[in-house]
Amino acid sequence: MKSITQICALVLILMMIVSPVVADSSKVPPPKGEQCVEETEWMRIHHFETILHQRDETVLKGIRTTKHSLKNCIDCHITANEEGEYARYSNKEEHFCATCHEFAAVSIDCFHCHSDRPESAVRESIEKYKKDGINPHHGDHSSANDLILKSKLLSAQ
Amino acid sequence: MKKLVSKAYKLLRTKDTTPDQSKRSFMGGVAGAAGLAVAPGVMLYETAQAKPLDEAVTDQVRWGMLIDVNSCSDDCNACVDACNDEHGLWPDKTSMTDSQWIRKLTVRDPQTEHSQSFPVMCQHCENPPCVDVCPTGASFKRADGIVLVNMHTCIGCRYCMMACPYKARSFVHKDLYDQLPNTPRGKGCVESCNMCVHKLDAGDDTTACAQACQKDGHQAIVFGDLNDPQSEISQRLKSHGGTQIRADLGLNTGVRYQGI
Amino acid sequence: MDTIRYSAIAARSSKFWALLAGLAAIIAIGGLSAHHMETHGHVITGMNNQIVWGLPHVFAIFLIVAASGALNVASVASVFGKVEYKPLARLSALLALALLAGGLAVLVLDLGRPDRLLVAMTTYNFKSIFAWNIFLYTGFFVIVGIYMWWMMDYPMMKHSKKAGLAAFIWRLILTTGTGSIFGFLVARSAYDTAMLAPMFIIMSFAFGLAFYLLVLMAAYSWTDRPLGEYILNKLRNLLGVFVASVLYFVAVYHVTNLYATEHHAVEKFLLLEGGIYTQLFWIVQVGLGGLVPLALIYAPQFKNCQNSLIAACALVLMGGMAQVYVILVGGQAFPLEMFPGMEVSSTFFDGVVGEYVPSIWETLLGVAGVALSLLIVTVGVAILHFLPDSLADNVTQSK
Repeated sequence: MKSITQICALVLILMMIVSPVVADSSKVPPPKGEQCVEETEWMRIHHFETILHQRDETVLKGIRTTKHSLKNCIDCHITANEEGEYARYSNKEEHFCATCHEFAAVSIDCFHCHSDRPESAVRESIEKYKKDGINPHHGDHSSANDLILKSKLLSAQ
Repeated sequence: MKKLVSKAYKLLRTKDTTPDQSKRSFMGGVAGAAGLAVAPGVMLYETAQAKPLDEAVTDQVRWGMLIDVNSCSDDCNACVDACNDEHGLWPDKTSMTDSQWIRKLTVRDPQTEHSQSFPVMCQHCENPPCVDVCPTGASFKRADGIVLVNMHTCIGCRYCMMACPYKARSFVHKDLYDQLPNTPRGKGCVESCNMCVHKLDAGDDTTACAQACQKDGHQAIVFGDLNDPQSEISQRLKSHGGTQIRADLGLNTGVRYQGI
Repeated sequence: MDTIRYSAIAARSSKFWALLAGLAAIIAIGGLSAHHMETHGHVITGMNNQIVWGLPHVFAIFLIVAASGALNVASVASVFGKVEYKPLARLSALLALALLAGGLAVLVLDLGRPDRLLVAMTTYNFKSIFAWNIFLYTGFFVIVGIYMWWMMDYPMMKHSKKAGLAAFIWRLILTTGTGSIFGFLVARSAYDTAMLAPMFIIMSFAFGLAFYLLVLMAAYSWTDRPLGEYILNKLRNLLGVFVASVLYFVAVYHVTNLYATEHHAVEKFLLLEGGIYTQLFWIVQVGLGGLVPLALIYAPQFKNCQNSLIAACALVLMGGMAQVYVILVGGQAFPLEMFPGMEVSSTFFDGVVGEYVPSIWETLLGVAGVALSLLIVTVGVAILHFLPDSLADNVTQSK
């Protein structure tokens, strides 16, 4: 009969074997363009420093170079899927940022304020709410996912 | 000062091969042409001021607004609607917690029964009380005179809202979604009119409200550079004057009114 | 003077554990409220774009002001050399820290972004009196902590006077800063006056001492330790002086404003037409919180009566809450005077009296702050030697 410690160790090892080694980005629609503004590995290591530095440059000094602008990151990396929909950050399988962050369990609050989709997608959503009589900032305090569901239900009618 | 700033920035600047370069030279060319085409001494087009995207703003420019109250009409809301549309604000007019960056104020003298209405927004003071009181320095004045909130540092204490004499600031009381990419805003932070910084930094020379007033309203709002004596706003201020709301506070506002 | 013996209270009775459990439960509920507020945003509270600081701030300012004043008893001993107060000094320091902790907890949890507390503690705009206050509050913890240590640690006792002086000066600056949070605001008609800083100082004396007396009497009564009339009467008279002084400052503030025509609108609002604010001002702040306690303290039929002292202290605290409410919420409710004398209206509620009805969430949060302060005191006196074994007359009077 194995001891408790040995059983726990076995369970942990099994968990490590079956858990993913990398984030699953299979459902993320491909980004625009040939390549990112920086090397992928460089971005993996430095993207948050870049964002943190760039935000001060932009807000305090009005420097808005497109290379490291968050808006541009979103414009390139968040593209439409086959149905023509743009994922929101709450969609952990299809949003470019969400897949890795969910895997790495690093929570970010960028998208509490910043748009997680390109402007065209946002404007489209807004027009849809207005047509359906929903004030985008009103009523239920439901999460964005609920809104997607709601608009899907409304458009299915 | 400008030299120092651009020198410092050159150390940090990355090579930018986006279409900005061609846009800059195009704009520069147009500005030159416009300057030649119009009578000397009168520059109607503000593109001479348009700063390149990768340079810091400087205090060479001081953005300001002039509102001609006599032209402003009681039942026109073009400026308010334009601002809401530009920044993704959808205030429910009956709600006490929704954000309003600009609103039409109706002022009535009970003695003479004379009544006026005009838009009021953040006055972008030179000595802003909101900047003085912010504990973290999130409320700040940019070099070009625009007073705004750095949402990355704002802790949502609302002291700036207590301090503002113009009730310019709003607090975001609930979760937002579908914020427009040009105007990030979120729950727990304080916000106010930012003179459409995203437009100005991109080379535009006006704000959404001024633009709407010129196009759909009564041409009551003029936006421009207060530091440039040739700008329309400076010339109008020189010829017809302009008052500040609460001038007694000595804040030297960037927004002036004619006809109050 | 005879050596005073201090000891921790014997924390064995079921009453003690019941008290701890009750306070902890209130704190837990307040914590859940704060979490609810943070998750859903301030839209669930009664605060809005017109009244931006509400009941949590009333509680917080009240507790912070009381915290500064609670240290008074120790200062009277250490700084002003009144040795009869020496045995009371340790509890005074503990109560000061506890009240400040409770007040700050409420203040911090009401922030729009409480997750950015670290930003608030590391990024300072030193022109802001609020930033100075954050610095002063954290410094208060350190200085009073040192003061408490030097009062209780035998090798350091001879230095306790120095710490006492430092603490005294620090808290005067701190309370001046708290009053100046409002006094520096040029925008609002009810603020923008240098009077608020000294008024807050004298308010702190009154509220702090009232809190102290209640805690002292409760502690000694519930642990069956003797508490004599001599020391109680000294504190009673002191409270009377402070309450009278608060009334004086309030009177000067309003009379001065009434003299200036430009302030007539806001004075009419606060003193006559402000609805709830007017009622709170006259009935609770001036009447129940000022005149009635003075009667309870000085009237000959209440001499040596402990119950009247308890009632007086409770009423002073109630009046204090009302005073802070009128200053804080009433001051915001009165519309900004952008165009004096004009009738102003807009979609943004210009020109109208601000509406504020506290919701259950902010009320629970505020009450939890008080409970936190009391919990800290309760745990403190049970662990360390804060309370003298006896404060009977023969002990306190033998000099």
